[in-house]
Amino acid sequence: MARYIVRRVLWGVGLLVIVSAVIFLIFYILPSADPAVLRAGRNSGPTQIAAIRHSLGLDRPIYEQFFDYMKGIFLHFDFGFSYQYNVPVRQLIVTRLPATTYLVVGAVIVWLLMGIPTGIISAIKQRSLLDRTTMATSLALISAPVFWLGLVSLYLFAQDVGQFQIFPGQGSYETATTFVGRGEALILPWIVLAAATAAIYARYMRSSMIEVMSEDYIRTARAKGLTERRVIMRHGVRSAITPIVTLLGLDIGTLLAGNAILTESVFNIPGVGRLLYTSITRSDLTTIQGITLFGAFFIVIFNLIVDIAYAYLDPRVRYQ
Amino acid sequence: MRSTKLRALVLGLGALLALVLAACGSSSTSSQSASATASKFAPPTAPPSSAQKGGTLTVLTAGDVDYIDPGAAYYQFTYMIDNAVNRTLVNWPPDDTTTPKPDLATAEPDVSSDGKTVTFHIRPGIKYSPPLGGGAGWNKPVVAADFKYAIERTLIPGVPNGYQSLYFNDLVGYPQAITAAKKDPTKAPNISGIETPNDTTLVLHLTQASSLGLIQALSLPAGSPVPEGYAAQFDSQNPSTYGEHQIDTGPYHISSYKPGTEIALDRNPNWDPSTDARPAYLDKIVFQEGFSDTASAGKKILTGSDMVNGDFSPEPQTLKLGATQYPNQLTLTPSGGNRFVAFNTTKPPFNDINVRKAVIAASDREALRATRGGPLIGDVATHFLPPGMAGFDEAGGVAGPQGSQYDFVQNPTGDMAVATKYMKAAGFSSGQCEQNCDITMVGDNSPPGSDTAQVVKSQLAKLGFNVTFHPVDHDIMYTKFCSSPANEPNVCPNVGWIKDFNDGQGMIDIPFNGSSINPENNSNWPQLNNTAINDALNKAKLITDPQQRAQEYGQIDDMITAQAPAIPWVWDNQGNISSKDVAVVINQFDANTDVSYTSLTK
Amino acid sequence: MATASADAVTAVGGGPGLVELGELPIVTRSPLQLFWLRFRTDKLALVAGVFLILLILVAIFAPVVISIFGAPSPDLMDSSSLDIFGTPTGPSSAHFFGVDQLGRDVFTRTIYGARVSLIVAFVSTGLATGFGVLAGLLAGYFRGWTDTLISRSVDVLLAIPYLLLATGLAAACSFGNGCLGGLIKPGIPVVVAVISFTSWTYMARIIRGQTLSIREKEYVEAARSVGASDRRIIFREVLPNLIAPIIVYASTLLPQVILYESALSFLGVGVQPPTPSWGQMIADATSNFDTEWWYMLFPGIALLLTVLAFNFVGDAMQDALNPRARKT
Repeated sequence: MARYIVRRVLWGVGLLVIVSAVIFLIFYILPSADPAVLRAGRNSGPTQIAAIRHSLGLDRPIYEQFFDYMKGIFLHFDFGFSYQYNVPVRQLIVTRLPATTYLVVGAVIVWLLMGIPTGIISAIKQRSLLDRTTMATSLALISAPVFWLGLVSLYLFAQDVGQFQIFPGQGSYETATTFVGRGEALILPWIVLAAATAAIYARYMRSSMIEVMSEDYIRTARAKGLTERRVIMRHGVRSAITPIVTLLGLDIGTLLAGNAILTESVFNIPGVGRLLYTSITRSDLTTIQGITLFGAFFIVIFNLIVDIAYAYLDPRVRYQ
Repeated sequence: MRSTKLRALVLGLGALLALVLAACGSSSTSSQSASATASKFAPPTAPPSSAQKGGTLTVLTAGDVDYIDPGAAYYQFTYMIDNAVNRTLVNWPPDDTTTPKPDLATAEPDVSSDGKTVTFHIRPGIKYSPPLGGGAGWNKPVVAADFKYAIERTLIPGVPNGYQSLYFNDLVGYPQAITAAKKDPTKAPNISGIETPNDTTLVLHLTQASSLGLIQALSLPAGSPVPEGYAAQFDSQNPSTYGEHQIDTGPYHISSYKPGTEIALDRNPNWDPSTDARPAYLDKIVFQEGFSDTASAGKKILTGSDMVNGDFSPEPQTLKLGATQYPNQLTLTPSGGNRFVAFNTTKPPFNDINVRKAVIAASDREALRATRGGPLIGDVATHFLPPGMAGFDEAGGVAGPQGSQYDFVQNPTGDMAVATKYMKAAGFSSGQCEQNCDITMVGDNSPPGSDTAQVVKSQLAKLGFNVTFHPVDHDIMYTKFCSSPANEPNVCPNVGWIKDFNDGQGMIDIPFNGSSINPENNSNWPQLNNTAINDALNKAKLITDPQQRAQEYGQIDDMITAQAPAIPWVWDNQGNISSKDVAVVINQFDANTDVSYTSLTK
Repeated sequence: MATASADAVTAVGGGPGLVELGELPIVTRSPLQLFWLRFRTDKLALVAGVFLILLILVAIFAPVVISIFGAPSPDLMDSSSLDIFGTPTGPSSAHFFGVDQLGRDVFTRTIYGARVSLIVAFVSTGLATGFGVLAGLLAGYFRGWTDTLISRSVDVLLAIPYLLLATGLAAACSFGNGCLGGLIKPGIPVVVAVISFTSWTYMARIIRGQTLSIREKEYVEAARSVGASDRRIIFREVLPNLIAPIIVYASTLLPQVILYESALSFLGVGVQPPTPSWGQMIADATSNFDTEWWYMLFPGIALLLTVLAFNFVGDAMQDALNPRARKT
């Protein structure tokens, strides 16, 4: 077991190094605005620009710059310096993590609360009108682009511009000062961000439930005379939910790297995703690079945790 | 959202306007009505007599300041903050755009008869605020040496100042100081031409009679005092961290700075109101950043309370809402800038003056202006000097230069007959482009600039040009393409220029003088290099009589227009909006809310 | 994007796709006939299929469709449809869906937007599938260092947040002549390249797993023992047995690719203006959707219906190809 974990961790670290190198290369060749020119201001002469370029180390060979970059990341957790914001990228990301964490944790809770019960009910009432409606709706939610869903929800329900002014709208996270106030501001974003994944989980849960409910031990449980409610809750749901919960880690990673960015952009939530969006429009490549790496770190670490958790749960994995 | 529009108003003897464009419109007489309509939204330049102290003003902004360090700040929006937290030798009262008034100087400076020596006498006993970010701070009062150091530190790479080479380069000892800064970038170099015979006297020696520009430049944030004994420790780093530890002298000081999130100004406990003309009604000013969706931010301001806009101009929708429903909460201030579509005059097809004239004639400039909000946003430009600038009337005023040689610029909605005439003169007998018709254009990637660029593309298509449009970030558009002659595309649709000061030189010399074409950071985007214009510009800047100077720059402006280097399409107004309970005062010089004069009505 | 991880949509089970095979008369049928018999029982999928065929026709004949309705061309900027503040006007008899911020007809641009979505969807899915299948086959069949190289590359790619990677690549290739020596030109080619490059990995994993088990089957052993070349075994023996999973996975990838393209365009790194694309139209509308809802609404509905239709058809195809599969 220990050997397996050590091997996985080593590969994880190796993966991070390779990923960092790939990302560095991609961003090195991008036609970014020259940081030296940006820093120099508009009316500076070539000599001043050259001096700044030198002082930033941008005139050194690529491998030296790469070595420094890697050293910064692995020894100091330093993701570089943003010349758009004039602060270290790490600081930019860290100050925006709370909003993103709040958004994603809330969304995970919403999608589990929406997805799992819906899946169970659909499975129990298989092929009923309810089941068919639920499954069709879930397919529609999966098919809707999250940024559009966000705009439509704002158009309908936002307190400032909505047709039915119920929930706080765009930018209300920023002006809210309390934890509860921010939570209120996140109600719409949570629902919008959770919608597609909730739909997917409902479908997962439904098919997992259907499979489990046809197993022999369920029949045994029923034969023992347990109430149907008890059979479903104690025996059915419990085994059907296990494979789904193990997917959670991976889906959170996917969410962070995709829909969370779009949701934060639409709702003006000051998180990492909107930082990325602003960085894209302003071509702040150091920041994009930093966020990409940061995201990669999360994915690799989540994968590692999932792998190790599996190894604990299922001894066969270790010997594969 | 995609609507980030930093008004990257760079001030500087060549302050570049970073901008975008605009829209469609009404009839060709709208130029007159535009001015008339805009005058309904004239900015208040003095507080109401009933103004009272107290309250917190919230300023909504899309992005952050360019540099929190006053030595490097070069955006209009950053000036809004710096003007409230800093004091300079001379500064701009809200209603004055012509001459800066003494502030930390006790009086107007003494200028020697040869114009080469400037002497300031400094107000004694001014104290610094507690430092941003905590720490011991600096307990000594402001002395002359602090101004000397403030100027000198702009030369080190850790303080990326964008205008020092334009305004400070005539100081005696400047070249030596540049060399010294190169040798040791961790220490601000000595400029021998700046002397401080005692704590209250600052003497500046110049190599030529350019005191006018120098004095005005000292009103910019880099002219605010910085004590060497406090700042040297921060300036030894690159970039300098003085900005995050700055000590201020204004009625307010920066009490917290969270990049990209929030900047808070509190009252400066060490500020003595008896030494300052500013009333400073507000208790606190908070700059809330990140309202990249400026349309929703604009609506929030108009319908909410205690808010004004910071770094963004109201979008067409916000202007409409303001003008129709909240007319008392919208102000329009001439920004002293222009926007134009620059042709690259060094390569085909626009190396042919007739082709350039044809494109200008064919262009519906009201359609361009509509992308920024229509007539309210300003008059359709017919030449380059903006209204209010010395020389504007001499160059033809709003109507523009008259006579058949200027026929191509006279119809703001376009005139295809004139366009066809010039296409024929260029050798295209069909009146449509026949060769070199595939052209490139690099413009903004977010509205309204991207909208303007798309309208430009459609205007060029009228004459048979097939435009490939590359949308990029505004800064990249300049640094990689439009300001880099080697990589410049055929058309740069999103360029413009804003005044530094009320003088024709700052407005048209850099963008159109052939001798100012640089291999990098070039601001002569058309790369216009016309000997007659160059000579006239070089002579005009030595004229000292204001009347004669205005006359001369007005004439040069028309000479430039005749060369058709660009499509001038708007002299823009800066729109500012405020909540109903804000008694806003606009600083005409900065064309932005002056928070030191603004108050809240209870 | 739909966060739909690869298997998510595949998990759609039960429901109408389940066919009572027992009642069919026993006659010989080709797999294609079987497929069709099962597929056509799903009425919803049939409707969706008809919708998609219509959509493809509309996209191909967009200029004709436009002229039938008397709508203007997609790039025409009608300044008379903007008011004095330069803001657009809503649906009217001249412009059924209103106009956008430049006075362009939203109806026309929605129709033309289908072209971009469909081209990107089919080409990217094709390329990602082709590349993924090839990589998966090679890795699974040859194992050893080939497998290590391919599987590790997949690991690395999967560790990089795909939307971020795509953003970087799209920005890199959207200048001048594009990248890879002008091979990938700015515009649709960049979007296709970026999406394909970041989407082949799941397919490669699935195919690798399947190949690993198929290569041990007796008929492969048999082919090997009579001296068939590796190439012949891969393409004649292994590949034909993978057709079903390939089609299933490709059909779930396709709708995701459409969402992917729209997200890239929404973020401003997709198809470049003025080429109409649904994602970009929605992005244009974001700042003013409260007062000018029309150019947010119509492209969004078009996008939703198209993706939904592909999902319905994909589901039904999956059930028809593999009626017993009830994946979890």
